[in-house]
Amino acid sequence: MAYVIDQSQCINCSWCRRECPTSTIQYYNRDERKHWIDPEGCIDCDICSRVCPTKCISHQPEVLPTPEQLKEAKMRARTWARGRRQLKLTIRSYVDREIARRANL
Amino acid sequence: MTQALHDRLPPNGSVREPPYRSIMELSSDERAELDEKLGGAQNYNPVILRELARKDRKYLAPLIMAILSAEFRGIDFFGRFVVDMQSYNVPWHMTLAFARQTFDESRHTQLNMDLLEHLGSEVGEYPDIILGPQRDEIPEEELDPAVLMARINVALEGFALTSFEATRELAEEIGEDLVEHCHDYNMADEVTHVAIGDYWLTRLCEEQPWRKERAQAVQEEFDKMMAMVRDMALNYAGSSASGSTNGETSEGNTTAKPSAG
Repeated sequence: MAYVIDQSQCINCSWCRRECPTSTIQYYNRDERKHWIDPEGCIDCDICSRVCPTKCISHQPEVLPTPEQLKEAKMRARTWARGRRQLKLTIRSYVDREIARRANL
Repeated sequence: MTQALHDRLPPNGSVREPPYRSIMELSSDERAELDEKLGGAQNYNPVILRELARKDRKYLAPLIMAILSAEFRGIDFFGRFVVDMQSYNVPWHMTLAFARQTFDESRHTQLNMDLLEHLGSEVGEYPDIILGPQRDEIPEEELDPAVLMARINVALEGFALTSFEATRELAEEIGEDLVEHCHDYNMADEVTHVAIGDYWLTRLCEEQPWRKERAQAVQEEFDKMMAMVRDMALNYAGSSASGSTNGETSEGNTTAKPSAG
């Protein structure tokens, strides 16, 4: 299964591309200059569909990646999730220190 | 020949109090004052301020001011486009679309100024945060309508969506209904701005395909710049939080993709 962008509705805001954990959303590499999802890297996480401001991303059960493609995409997603978690922890730990430091001033 | 605008206007003797200043132009006293309020200029950053505001509401006002400075810049950019675009052979409706966006940015400015008041602050309490070239400093070749559309309307306004949404979510979480409502409203306008940019960029590229390549280069440059800015801020936060930059933190930051501002 994979998600598909309705290109007649897409406004190219790039939000889905920035959020995609497997970097499978492409832009500018097709003639129509619209965002599109390469089904080979889609892991059905639904993140793109949730952030899309024009609600133009939908689930297409008939589009299927192979098991190998899916495995590789899931590995990329795990790396992404680790990065995100690290990022959140880094900011939170900095902010906690700042709040504590200022409380002691 | 038309006289330049500044020659047509009477001398302006009025003084703005507090005076306008960018974060890069603070005096040592002003910097000390900012340090006092925020714990250092490095915290005057929407990503950090949102997290600080989650713990303490007093950081909401500088966050709104940071957004407001982008709205001020938006009025300047879009307002000038209305004039500049008339030198290019672009459809009149495209120029009108810029006029509409100038009005939208003015409305966002008004909303955010009122939000500042609501939060017990005012314009001038915090400096302007927006860095990068002023409109006057942009080289002539960068003023091509397609390049401007790709950079401002599509890339920058697209990025602003994530920033508004993150601020709206924060406001919802901490129960600031007015901030939540206003930023939801702002976001609807930003979606329209991206749609306007995408529509006209498509039209311009259809007529002159070379513009597509330039627009693509602009988008790539923008993506790289946003990733770099984010990594810099996070590396600073990482090294401050741990006492030094450690390998794990750096790796975590560089693998993270630029996202919700």
